[in-house]
Amino acid sequence: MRIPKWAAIILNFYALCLAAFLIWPVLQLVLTSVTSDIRFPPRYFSLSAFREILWPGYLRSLVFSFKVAFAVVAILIVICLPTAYALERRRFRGRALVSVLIFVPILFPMATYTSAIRVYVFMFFSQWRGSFWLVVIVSAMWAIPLVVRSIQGSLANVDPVYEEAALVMGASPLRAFVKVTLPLIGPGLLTAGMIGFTSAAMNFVVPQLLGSKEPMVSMYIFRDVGKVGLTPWIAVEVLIMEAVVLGAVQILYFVFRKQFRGVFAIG
Amino acid sequence: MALSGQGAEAGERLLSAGGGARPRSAGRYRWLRRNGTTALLLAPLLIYMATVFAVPMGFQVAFAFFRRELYKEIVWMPVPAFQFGNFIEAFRNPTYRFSFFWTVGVALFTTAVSIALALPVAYFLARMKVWGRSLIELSFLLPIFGEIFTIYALAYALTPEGPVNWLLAKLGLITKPISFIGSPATVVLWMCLPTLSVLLIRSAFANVDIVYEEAAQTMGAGWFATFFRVSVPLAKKGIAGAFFLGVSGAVGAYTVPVVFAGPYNNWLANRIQREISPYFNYPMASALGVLLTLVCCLMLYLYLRTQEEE
Repeated sequence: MRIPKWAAIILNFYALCLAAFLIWPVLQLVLTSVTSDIRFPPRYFSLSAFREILWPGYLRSLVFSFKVAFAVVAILIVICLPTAYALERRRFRGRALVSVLIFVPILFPMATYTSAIRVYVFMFFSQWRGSFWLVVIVSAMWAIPLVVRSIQGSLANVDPVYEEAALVMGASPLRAFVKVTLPLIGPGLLTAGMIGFTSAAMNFVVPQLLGSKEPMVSMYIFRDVGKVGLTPWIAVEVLIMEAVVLGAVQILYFVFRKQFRGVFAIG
Repeated sequence: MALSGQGAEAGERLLSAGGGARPRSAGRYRWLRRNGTTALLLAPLLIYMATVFAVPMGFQVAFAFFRRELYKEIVWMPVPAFQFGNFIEAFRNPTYRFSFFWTVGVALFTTAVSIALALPVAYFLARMKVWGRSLIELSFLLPIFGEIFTIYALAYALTPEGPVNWLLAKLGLITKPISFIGSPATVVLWMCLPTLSVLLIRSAFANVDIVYEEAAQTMGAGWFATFFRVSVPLAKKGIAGAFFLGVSGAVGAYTVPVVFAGPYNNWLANRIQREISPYFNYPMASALGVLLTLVCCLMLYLYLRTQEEE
């Protein structure tokens, strides 16, 4: 559609304003991290906030978050890779139903099903309360649709003829998939893994509601804010996590832009 | 070798008389051979969804009909029963009723605003040459993956000593700082921001064949009319999807209200948590959870209806 140049400029300006509104708090964090208080405009620049953090506790929660995230990625690959393959390469009765089923974790609020799981576990498996694996298994759910779509998008771009050729040459279906298709969908698989990793490492609702025994970094910061309010050293804690999110999402976006766009395609 | 007429008849009789089970088992075997690997491929997802999602949700529905009793005068325990007391209480008690209608109302309002704000950006990203495209697309992804951290970052900017109050004071709009933190208005404002909706609608616009828009403009339609009378109706499946998905997400808002409005806010997801701990009222929490799930089911149904109409 042709639109007047002035309208295009206004639209671009509007889009940039929205982007700036979403990104500028991060700049505010950087500013707060290097000042002695949270006042704007800053009066005294200082790095004391970096010294005030209780590093052992914070790092422990950071490591725990990463552990959860890696375990979530492993679970997601086991669940989503075969599902994406079946949805993309097989025609079967109920395919449409499975396509809808993978969106269930996004269609229903995370807080609702996590509450249901919490009550269920408290009633029947109270020994699992707040355990590492409970947090991991539930944290994996939200990312299922995004991970399946990401892998499915990559599979759609790989011609099945290569795999068929391997089968004709005598390879078993599993060997043909591992040796031929898997290397070809590598970027999509990496995108999927990073989506799973980021969503799990940043998760707050699941560990908070399930009462994770060891705090993930989101819970750790939430507790710190509850104790002392918004201070420069908490800004540093948030900034470190923002850097991780930004870094991961940036890599995802810039390296695998095409796969990433396909993940959010509906309609 | 062809069978003679009599031989073939005899064969058919034999099959129909003595081997009644054979064709069925052969059919089952054929089904397994044809769909066995597909079933195996889908097994991890189906097992996971059944055990981690369906079973707890099923129990949530069951618990919603339970009663609670004080066990040994110490702790509240859910007691099996089949009664609608919790659902009746959810609508009779003004606190629960307000929470429910507030949550759903805010979700509908904020999603509608968010979609309205997202439409021009989404179209622009789908069709035009954009200056700063990467920055714009990246900014919409940030809150999706690290919501709590983006919210905290914003919280620093919204403190009484923060830049927002500073700017408002410099513009002469306020005389004393506004306390944004602890206010439900801040939650509503944040929820109105288009993030995921832009990405979803962008892909819907990208799927609309540009030739229809060009035809409308060739026939003399202005760009504004073309957008609202051609592009938007053609992308309505995606827009409806983004709306229903947005409402589903917004009714379950938990993190944003906790951070911006405090732990004792009126959003239903937070109230459910309070019913679980510290009140140990599992049946009530389950009933409220079922109500939220029903709202989401309604959204899903409406979404599927819009897809069917096409």
